[in-house]
Amino acid sequence: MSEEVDRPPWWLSGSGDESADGSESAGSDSDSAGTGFAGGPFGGGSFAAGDLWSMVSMVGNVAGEWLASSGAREHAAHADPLDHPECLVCKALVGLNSVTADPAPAQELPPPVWLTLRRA
Amino acid sequence: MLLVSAITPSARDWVLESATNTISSARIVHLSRPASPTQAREGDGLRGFGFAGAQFTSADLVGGLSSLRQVIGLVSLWNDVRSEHSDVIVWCDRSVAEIAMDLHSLALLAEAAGTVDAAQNMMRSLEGLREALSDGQIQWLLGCPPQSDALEQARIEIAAGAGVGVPIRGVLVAPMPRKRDGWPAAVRARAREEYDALAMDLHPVPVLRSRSGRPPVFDHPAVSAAEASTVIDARGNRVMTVTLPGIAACGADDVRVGTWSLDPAYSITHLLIEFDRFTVRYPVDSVVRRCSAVDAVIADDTVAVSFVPEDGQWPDDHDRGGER
Repeated sequence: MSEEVDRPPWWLSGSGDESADGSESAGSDSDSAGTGFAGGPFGGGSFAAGDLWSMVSMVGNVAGEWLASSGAREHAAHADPLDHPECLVCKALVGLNSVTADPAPAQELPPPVWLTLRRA
Repeated sequence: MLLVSAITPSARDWVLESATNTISSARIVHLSRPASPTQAREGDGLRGFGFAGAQFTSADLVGGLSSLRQVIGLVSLWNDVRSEHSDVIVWCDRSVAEIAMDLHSLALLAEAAGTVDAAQNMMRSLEGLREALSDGQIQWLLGCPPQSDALEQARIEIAAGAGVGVPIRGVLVAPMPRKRDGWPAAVRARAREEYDALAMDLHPVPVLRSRSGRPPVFDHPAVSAAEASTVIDARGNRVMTVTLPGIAACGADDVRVGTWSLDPAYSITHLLIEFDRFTVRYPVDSVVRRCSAVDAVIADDTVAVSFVPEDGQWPDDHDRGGER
Protein backbone atom coordinates (compact mmCIF):
# COMPACT_ATOMS: atom_id res chain seq x y z
CA MET A 1 0.00 0.00 0.00
CA SER A 2 1.21 3.49 -0.62
CA GLU A 3 2.15 5.99 2.04
CA GLU A 4 -0.88 8.12 1.08
CA VAL A 5 -3.25 5.39 2.24
CA ASP A 6 -1.44 4.73 5.53
CA ARG A 7 -1.53 8.38 6.49
CA PRO A 8 -4.68 9.84 8.09
CA PRO A 9 -6.54 12.27 5.85
CA TRP A 10 -5.75 15.96 6.25
CA TRP A 11 -8.97 16.81 8.01
CA LEU A 12 -7.85 14.52 10.87
CA SER A 13 -4.47 16.14 11.01
CA GLY A 14 -5.28 17.31 14.52
CA SER A 15 -5.12 13.67 15.74
CA GLY A 16 -1.37 14.00 16.00
CA ASP A 17 0.35 12.04 13.25
CA GLU A 18 3.84 13.52 13.45
CA SER A 19 4.90 11.79 10.27
CA ALA A 20 2.72 14.11 8.17
CA ASP A 21 4.48 16.95 6.39
CA GLY A 22 4.83 20.42 7.85
CA SER A 23 1.69 21.97 6.49
CA GLU A 24 -0.52 19.13 7.58
CA SER A 25 0.89 18.94 11.05
CA ALA A 26 0.66 22.68 11.56
CA GLY A 27 -2.69 22.43 13.28
CA SER A 28 -1.91 19.40 15.36
CA ASP A 29 -2.80 21.00 18.68
CA SER A 30 -5.57 18.82 20.13
CA ASP A 31 -7.61 21.94 21.07
CA SER A 32 -7.83 22.99 17.50
CA ALA A 33 -8.63 19.64 15.90
CA GLY A 34 -10.98 20.19 12.98
CA THR A 35 -10.86 23.97 13.28
CA GLY A 36 -7.25 24.78 12.46
CA PHE A 37 -6.32 26.52 9.21
CA ALA A 38 -3.85 23.87 8.07
CA GLY A 39 -4.70 23.19 4.45
CA GLY A 40 -7.03 26.14 4.35
CA PRO A 41 -6.51 29.54 2.77
CA PHE A 42 -3.84 30.37 5.32
CA GLY A 43 -2.09 27.09 4.43
CA GLY A 44 0.80 26.49 6.80
CA GLY A 45 -0.42 29.10 9.30
CA SER A 46 -0.84 28.37 12.96
CA PHE A 47 -4.18 30.10 13.70
CA ALA A 48 -6.43 28.25 16.05
CA ALA A 49 -10.02 28.83 17.11
CA GLY A 50 -8.95 31.01 20.00
CA ASP A 51 -6.75 33.12 17.75
CA LEU A 52 -9.60 33.54 15.31
CA TRP A 53 -12.00 34.64 18.00
CA SER A 54 -9.54 37.19 19.34
CA MET A 55 -8.95 38.49 15.84
CA VAL A 56 -12.69 38.92 15.24
CA SER A 57 -12.97 40.75 18.55
CA MET A 58 -10.11 43.00 17.59
CA VAL A 59 -11.70 43.82 14.22
CA GLY A 60 -14.97 44.50 16.03
CA ASN A 61 -13.26 46.91 18.38
CA VAL A 62 -11.53 48.73 15.56
CA ALA A 63 -14.83 48.97 13.67
CA GLY A 64 -16.51 50.31 16.76
CA GLU A 65 -13.84 52.95 17.22
CA TRP A 66 -14.14 53.96 13.56
CA LEU A 67 -17.92 54.16 13.91
CA ALA A 68 -17.57 56.41 16.91
CA SER A 69 -14.96 58.65 15.32
CA SER A 70 -16.81 58.89 12.02
CA GLY A 71 -19.89 60.31 13.60
CA ALA A 72 -22.04 57.56 12.13
CA ARG A 73 -24.14 57.38 15.25
CA GLU A 74 -24.83 61.09 15.07
CA HIS A 75 -25.64 60.67 11.39
CA ALA A 76 -28.77 58.68 12.30
CA ALA A 77 -30.41 61.99 13.17
CA HIS A 78 -29.48 63.72 9.89
CA ALA A 79 -32.47 63.96 7.57
CA ASP A 80 -30.85 65.78 4.66
CA PRO A 81 -27.14 65.04 3.97
CA LEU A 82 -26.74 68.47 2.35
CA ASP A 83 -27.52 70.15 5.68
CA HIS A 84 -24.63 68.38 7.48
CA PRO A 85 -21.38 68.94 5.59
CA GLU A 86 -19.41 68.28 8.81
CA CYS A 87 -20.73 64.69 8.99
CA LEU A 88 -18.46 62.17 7.28
CA VAL A 89 -21.35 59.88 6.25
CA CYS A 90 -23.41 62.78 4.87
CA LYS A 91 -20.37 64.00 2.97
CA ALA A 92 -19.87 60.53 1.46
CA LEU A 93 -23.54 60.28 0.51
CA VAL A 94 -23.47 63.67 -1.21
CA GLY A 95 -20.31 62.69 -3.10
CA LEU A 96 -21.78 59.37 -4.16
CA ASN A 97 -24.96 61.03 -5.30
CA SER A 98 -23.07 63.50 -7.43
CA VAL A 99 -21.28 60.63 -9.15
CA THR A 100 -24.26 58.40 -9.79
CA ALA A 101 -27.30 60.64 -10.06
CA ASP A 102 -26.55 62.31 -13.38
CA PRO A 103 -25.51 60.42 -16.50
CA ALA A 104 -22.19 61.29 -18.06
CA PRO A 105 -22.40 64.72 -19.64
CA ALA A 106 -23.24 64.39 -23.29
CA GLN A 107 -20.73 65.91 -25.67
CA GLU A 108 -22.41 68.13 -28.19
CA LEU A 109 -21.23 67.43 -31.68
CA PRO A 110 -20.50 70.63 -33.57
CA PRO A 111 -22.68 71.48 -36.56
CA PRO A 112 -21.13 71.19 -40.02
CA VAL A 113 -19.98 74.23 -41.96
CA TRP A 114 -21.50 74.12 -45.42
CA LEU A 115 -19.69 75.54 -48.43
CA THR A 116 -21.05 77.14 -51.55
CA LEU A 117 -20.86 74.43 -54.16
CA ARG A 118 -20.11 75.30 -57.75
CA ARG A 119 -20.88 72.92 -60.59
CA ALA A 120 -18.10 72.79 -63.17
CA MET B 1 -21.01 37.76 -45.87
CA LEU B 2 -22.96 39.17 -48.80
CA LEU B 3 -25.53 41.87 -48.09
CA VAL B 4 -28.28 41.88 -50.67
CA SER B 5 -30.86 44.58 -51.28
CA ALA B 6 -33.12 45.74 -54.08
CA ILE B 7 -34.46 49.08 -55.20
CA THR B 8 -37.91 47.64 -55.89
CA PRO B 9 -39.71 44.46 -54.74
CA SER B 10 -39.72 43.20 -58.33
CA ALA B 11 -35.93 42.81 -58.27
CA ARG B 12 -35.83 41.00 -54.93
CA ASP B 13 -36.14 37.40 -56.12
CA TRP B 14 -33.76 38.03 -58.99
CA VAL B 15 -30.99 39.49 -56.89
CA LEU B 16 -31.39 36.81 -54.23
CA GLU B 17 -31.14 34.09 -56.87
CA SER B 18 -28.11 35.80 -58.32
CA ALA B 19 -26.53 35.94 -54.86
CA THR B 20 -27.25 32.25 -54.33
CA ASN B 21 -25.68 31.44 -57.69
CA THR B 22 -22.66 33.52 -56.73
CA ILE B 23 -22.14 31.94 -53.30
CA SER B 24 -23.79 28.54 -53.58
CA SER B 25 -22.80 27.36 -50.10
CA ALA B 26 -24.37 30.30 -48.30
CA ARG B 27 -27.63 30.26 -46.41
CA ILE B 28 -30.04 33.18 -46.69
CA VAL B 29 -30.86 35.18 -43.59
CA HIS B 30 -33.31 38.06 -43.22
CA LEU B 31 -31.67 40.95 -41.39
CA SER B 32 -34.84 41.89 -39.53
CA ARG B 33 -35.32 38.36 -38.24
CA PRO B 34 -32.88 36.52 -35.98
CA ALA B 35 -31.46 33.42 -37.64
CA SER B 36 -31.06 31.36 -34.48
CA PRO B 37 -32.11 31.38 -30.84
CA THR B 38 -28.52 32.31 -29.98
CA GLN B 39 -28.66 35.27 -32.26
CA ALA B 40 -32.03 36.26 -30.84
CA ARG B 41 -30.54 36.24 -27.34
CA GLU B 42 -27.50 38.18 -28.45
CA GLY B 43 -29.80 40.60 -30.23
CA ASP B 44 -31.72 41.16 -27.02
CA GLY B 45 -28.53 41.83 -25.13
CA LEU B 46 -27.18 44.08 -27.78
CA ARG B 47 -30.46 45.89 -27.97
CA GLY B 48 -29.90 46.87 -24.37
CA PHE B 49 -26.48 48.22 -25.16
CA GLY B 50 -27.90 50.04 -28.14
CA PHE B 51 -30.42 51.89 -26.06
CA ALA B 52 -27.81 52.63 -23.44
CA GLY B 53 -25.59 54.02 -26.14
CA ALA B 54 -28.39 56.20 -27.45
CA GLN B 55 -28.20 58.41 -24.38
CA PHE B 56 -25.07 60.00 -25.83
CA THR B 57 -26.67 60.74 -29.12
CA SER B 58 -28.82 63.42 -30.54
CA ALA B 59 -32.53 63.13 -31.04
CA ASP B 60 -32.20 62.01 -34.64
CA LEU B 61 -30.54 58.78 -33.58
CA VAL B 62 -33.07 58.12 -30.88
CA GLY B 63 -35.68 58.57 -33.59
CA GLY B 64 -33.92 55.99 -35.73
CA LEU B 65 -34.18 53.06 -33.36
CA SER B 66 -35.28 50.65 -36.06
CA SER B 67 -32.11 51.50 -37.91
CA LEU B 68 -30.15 50.97 -34.74
CA ARG B 69 -31.70 47.53 -34.35
CA GLN B 70 -30.61 46.61 -37.86
CA VAL B 71 -27.06 47.70 -37.18
CA ILE B 72 -27.09 45.67 -33.99
CA GLY B 73 -28.63 42.73 -35.86
CA LEU B 74 -25.80 42.94 -38.35
CA VAL B 75 -23.21 42.99 -35.57
CA SER B 76 -24.82 39.89 -34.12
CA LEU B 77 -24.98 38.15 -37.50
CA TRP B 78 -21.35 38.93 -38.19
CA ASN B 79 -20.37 37.45 -34.82
CA ASP B 80 -22.28 34.29 -35.77
CA VAL B 81 -20.62 34.09 -39.16
CA ARG B 82 -17.17 34.50 -37.65
CA SER B 83 -17.73 31.81 -35.05
CA GLU B 84 -19.29 29.34 -37.51
CA HIS B 85 -16.88 30.10 -40.38
CA SER B 86 -19.87 29.99 -42.71
CA ASP B 87 -21.09 32.08 -45.63
CA VAL B 88 -24.30 33.99 -45.27
CA ILE B 89 -26.41 35.96 -47.70
CA VAL B 90 -28.19 38.66 -45.73
CA TRP B 91 -31.35 40.04 -47.25
CA CYS B 92 -31.76 43.68 -46.22
CA ASP B 93 -35.17 45.18 -46.85
CA ARG B 94 -33.65 48.60 -46.35
CA SER B 95 -30.83 50.48 -48.05
CA VAL B 96 -27.49 48.86 -47.26
CA ALA B 97 -25.83 52.25 -47.66
CA GLU B 98 -28.09 53.65 -44.94
CA ILE B 99 -27.28 50.76 -42.61
CA ALA B 100 -23.54 51.24 -43.20
CA MET B 101 -23.87 54.97 -42.59
CA ASP B 102 -25.73 54.37 -39.36
CA LEU B 103 -22.99 51.98 -38.32
CA HIS B 104 -20.32 54.62 -38.90
CA SER B 105 -22.42 57.35 -37.29
CA LEU B 106 -22.91 55.22 -34.23
CA ALA B 107 -19.19 54.55 -34.03
CA LEU B 108 -18.46 58.27 -34.37
CA LEU B 109 -20.93 59.14 -31.64
CA ALA B 110 -19.40 56.50 -29.40
CA GLU B 111 -15.99 58.00 -30.14
CA ALA B 112 -17.29 61.45 -29.26
CA ALA B 113 -18.61 60.09 -25.96
CA GLY B 114 -15.00 59.35 -25.05
CA THR B 115 -14.13 57.06 -22.20
CA VAL B 116 -17.62 56.42 -20.88
CA ASP B 117 -17.98 52.66 -20.35
CA ALA B 118 -21.13 52.27 -22.44
CA ALA B 119 -19.49 54.09 -25.33
CA GLN B 120 -16.36 51.98 -25.09
CA ASN B 121 -18.44 48.79 -25.12
CA MET B 122 -20.34 50.06 -28.11
CA MET B 123 -17.15 50.91 -29.97
CA ARG B 124 -15.76 47.44 -29.33
CA SER B 125 -18.96 45.83 -30.62
CA LEU B 126 -18.98 47.93 -33.77
CA GLU B 127 -15.28 47.71 -34.54
CA GLY B 128 -15.37 44.14 -35.83
CA LEU B 129 -18.11 44.97 -38.28
CA ARG B 130 -16.33 48.12 -39.47
CA GLU B 131 -13.13 46.18 -40.05
CA ALA B 132 -15.01 43.48 -41.96
CA LEU B 133 -16.50 46.15 -44.20
CA SER B 134 -13.18 47.87 -44.77
CA ASP B 135 -11.28 44.70 -45.64
CA GLY B 136 -13.96 43.27 -47.95
CA GLN B 137 -15.24 40.41 -45.82
CA ILE B 138 -18.69 41.96 -46.06
CA GLN B 139 -19.85 42.91 -49.55
CA TRP B 140 -22.97 44.29 -51.12
CA LEU B 141 -25.04 43.19 -54.11
CA LEU B 142 -27.82 45.49 -55.29
CA GLY B 143 -30.74 44.58 -57.53
CA CYS B 144 -32.63 47.03 -59.69
CA PRO B 145 -35.14 46.80 -62.53
CA PRO B 146 -34.32 48.55 -65.86
CA GLN B 147 -36.63 51.46 -65.13
CA SER B 148 -35.26 54.98 -65.24
CA ASP B 149 -36.40 56.17 -61.79
CA ALA B 150 -35.18 52.97 -60.16
CA LEU B 151 -31.85 53.21 -61.96
CA GLU B 152 -31.42 56.81 -60.78
CA GLN B 153 -32.02 55.62 -57.26
CA ALA B 154 -29.52 52.78 -57.76
CA ARG B 155 -26.88 55.30 -58.84
CA ILE B 156 -27.43 57.34 -55.69
CA GLU B 157 -27.39 54.23 -53.50
CA ILE B 158 -24.13 53.08 -55.04
CA ALA B 159 -22.59 56.54 -54.58
CA ALA B 160 -23.61 56.44 -50.93
CA GLY B 161 -22.42 52.87 -50.40
CA ALA B 162 -19.11 53.60 -52.09
CA GLY B 163 -18.73 56.78 -50.06
CA VAL B 164 -19.21 54.99 -46.80
CA GLY B 165 -16.71 52.31 -47.81
CA VAL B 166 -18.93 49.31 -48.53
CA PRO B 167 -17.19 46.92 -50.95
CA ILE B 168 -19.64 46.50 -53.84
CA ARG B 169 -19.91 43.07 -55.43
CA GLY B 170 -22.10 44.43 -58.17
CA VAL B 171 -25.41 45.72 -59.43
CA LEU B 172 -27.91 43.40 -61.06
CA VAL B 173 -30.32 44.87 -63.56
CA ALA B 174 -33.29 42.52 -63.71
CA PRO B 175 -35.74 41.46 -64.89
CA MET B 176 -34.95 42.57 -68.43
CA PRO B 177 -37.98 42.69 -70.76
CA ARG B 178 -37.92 39.74 -73.15
CA LYS B 179 -39.34 39.22 -76.62
CA ARG B 180 -40.81 35.87 -75.62
CA ASP B 181 -42.77 37.61 -72.86
CA GLY B 182 -44.35 39.89 -75.44
CA TRP B 183 -42.45 43.11 -74.77
CA PRO B 184 -42.20 45.42 -77.79
CA ALA B 185 -38.80 46.02 -79.39
CA ALA B 186 -38.71 49.67 -78.31
CA VAL B 187 -39.12 48.74 -74.64
CA ARG B 188 -36.43 46.09 -74.89
CA ALA B 189 -34.05 48.48 -76.64
CA ARG B 190 -34.64 51.20 -74.05
CA ALA B 191 -33.98 48.77 -71.22
CA ARG B 192 -30.67 47.75 -72.79
CA GLU B 193 -29.70 51.41 -73.24
CA GLU B 194 -30.52 52.14 -69.62
CA TYR B 195 -28.41 49.17 -68.58
CA ASP B 196 -25.46 50.29 -70.73
CA ALA B 197 -25.65 53.82 -69.30
CA LEU B 198 -25.70 52.49 -65.75
CA ALA B 199 -22.68 50.27 -66.38
CA MET B 200 -20.83 53.30 -67.77
CA ASP B 201 -21.84 55.63 -64.92
CA LEU B 202 -20.99 53.23 -62.13
CA HIS B 203 -17.58 52.14 -63.40
CA PRO B 204 -15.64 50.39 -61.78
CA VAL B 205 -18.63 48.69 -60.09
CA PRO B 206 -19.57 45.49 -61.98
CA VAL B 207 -23.04 45.91 -63.49
CA LEU B 208 -24.67 42.81 -65.01
CA ARG B 209 -28.14 42.08 -66.34
CA SER B 210 -30.32 39.01 -66.50
CA ARG B 211 -29.99 37.11 -69.76
CA SER B 212 -32.48 34.64 -71.17
CA GLY B 213 -34.52 34.96 -68.00
CA ARG B 214 -31.66 33.86 -65.76
CA PRO B 215 -29.81 35.93 -63.17
CA PRO B 216 -26.04 36.10 -63.64
CA VAL B 217 -23.22 35.02 -61.37
CA PHE B 218 -21.11 37.85 -59.96
CA ASP B 219 -17.71 36.25 -60.12
CA HIS B 220 -15.83 39.55 -60.19
CA PRO B 221 -14.19 40.63 -56.95
CA ALA B 222 -15.94 43.37 -55.00
CA VAL B 223 -14.65 46.87 -55.55
CA SER B 224 -14.15 49.85 -53.28
CA ALA B 225 -15.48 52.30 -55.80
CA ALA B 226 -14.84 55.61 -54.03
CA GLU B 227 -11.56 57.43 -54.41
CA ALA B 228 -10.27 60.21 -52.21
CA SER B 229 -6.98 62.02 -52.49
CA THR B 230 -5.34 65.31 -51.58
CA VAL B 231 -3.17 67.22 -54.02
CA ILE B 232 -1.33 70.55 -53.84
CA ASP B 233 -2.40 73.08 -56.45
CA ALA B 234 -0.25 75.70 -58.22
CA ARG B 235 -0.75 78.21 -55.36
CA GLY B 236 0.43 75.71 -52.78
CA ASN B 237 -3.04 75.13 -51.32
CA ARG B 238 -4.37 71.69 -50.73
CA VAL B 239 -7.26 70.35 -52.79
CA MET B 240 -9.09 67.27 -51.61
CA THR B 241 -10.96 65.35 -54.28
CA VAL B 242 -13.53 62.63 -53.68
CA THR B 243 -14.98 60.55 -56.51
CA LEU B 244 -18.25 58.75 -55.86
CA PRO B 245 -19.54 56.81 -58.88
CA GLY B 246 -23.20 57.64 -59.37
CA ILE B 247 -23.37 60.94 -57.49
CA ALA B 248 -23.83 62.77 -60.80
CA ALA B 249 -27.39 61.45 -60.76
CA CYS B 250 -28.16 64.01 -58.05
CA GLY B 251 -29.22 67.44 -59.18
CA ALA B 252 -26.96 70.43 -58.52
CA ASP B 253 -29.17 71.59 -55.67
CA ASP B 254 -29.31 68.16 -54.09
CA VAL B 255 -25.64 68.00 -53.12
CA ARG B 256 -24.10 69.87 -50.20
CA VAL B 257 -20.44 69.89 -49.31
CA GLY B 258 -19.08 71.00 -45.98
CA THR B 259 -16.58 70.46 -43.22
CA TRP B 260 -17.04 69.13 -39.74
CA SER B 261 -14.93 68.61 -36.65
CA LEU B 262 -15.06 65.77 -34.20
CA ASP B 263 -12.10 67.14 -32.28
CA PRO B 264 -12.33 70.56 -30.59
CA ALA B 265 -8.61 71.07 -31.20
CA TYR B 266 -9.19 71.36 -34.95
CA SER B 267 -11.70 73.26 -37.01
CA ILE B 268 -11.86 70.41 -39.53
CA THR B 269 -11.54 66.68 -39.06
CA HIS B 270 -13.94 65.47 -41.76
CA LEU B 271 -15.15 66.50 -45.19
CA LEU B 272 -18.90 66.05 -45.53
CA ILE B 273 -20.80 65.32 -48.71
CA GLU B 274 -24.55 65.30 -48.30
CA PHE B 275 -26.81 64.14 -51.11
CA ASP B 276 -30.30 62.78 -51.29
CA ARG B 277 -30.79 61.33 -47.79
CA PHE B 278 -27.17 60.32 -47.35
CA THR B 279 -24.18 61.93 -45.68
CA VAL B 280 -20.68 60.72 -46.44
CA ARG B 281 -17.80 61.70 -44.15
CA TYR B 282 -14.19 61.59 -45.16
CA PRO B 283 -11.45 62.11 -42.59
CA VAL B 284 -8.96 64.73 -43.67
CA ASP B 285 -5.20 64.41 -43.28
CA SER B 286 -3.19 66.08 -40.54
CA VAL B 287 -2.24 69.08 -42.72
CA VAL B 288 -5.79 69.78 -43.88
CA ARG B 289 -6.91 69.68 -40.25
CA ARG B 290 -5.05 72.98 -39.79
CA CYS B 291 -6.68 74.61 -42.81
CA SER B 292 -9.99 76.23 -43.74
CA ALA B 293 -12.14 75.17 -46.66
CA VAL B 294 -12.63 78.01 -49.12
CA ASP B 295 -14.15 76.51 -52.24
CA ALA B 296 -16.07 73.44 -53.38
CA VAL B 297 -16.67 72.29 -56.95
CA ILE B 298 -18.53 69.27 -58.31
CA ALA B 299 -17.86 67.89 -61.77
CA ASP B 300 -19.54 64.65 -62.82
CA ASP B 301 -18.83 62.21 -60.01
CA THR B 302 -15.99 64.17 -58.41
CA VAL B 303 -16.15 66.71 -55.62
CA ALA B 304 -13.11 68.96 -55.10
CA VAL B 305 -12.63 71.14 -52.02
CA SER B 306 -9.82 73.71 -51.72
CA PHE B 307 -8.20 74.46 -48.36
CA VAL B 308 -6.02 77.36 -47.24
CA PRO B 309 -3.88 77.47 -44.07
CA GLU B 310 -5.81 78.72 -41.06
CA ASP B 311 -4.51 81.70 -39.11
CA GLY B 312 -2.99 80.77 -35.80
CA GLN B 313 -2.44 77.15 -36.75
CA TRP B 314 0.88 77.79 -38.50
CA PRO B 315 4.08 79.71 -37.72
CA ASP B 316 3.87 83.30 -39.00
CA ASP B 317 6.30 84.72 -41.56
CA HIS B 318 8.65 85.90 -38.85
CA ASP B 319 9.32 82.57 -37.19
CA ARG B 320 8.43 80.18 -39.97
CA GLY B 321 11.24 77.72 -40.30
CA GLY B 322 9.60 74.93 -42.23
CA GLU B 323 7.21 74.42 -45.04
CA ARG B 324 3.48 74.49 -44.58
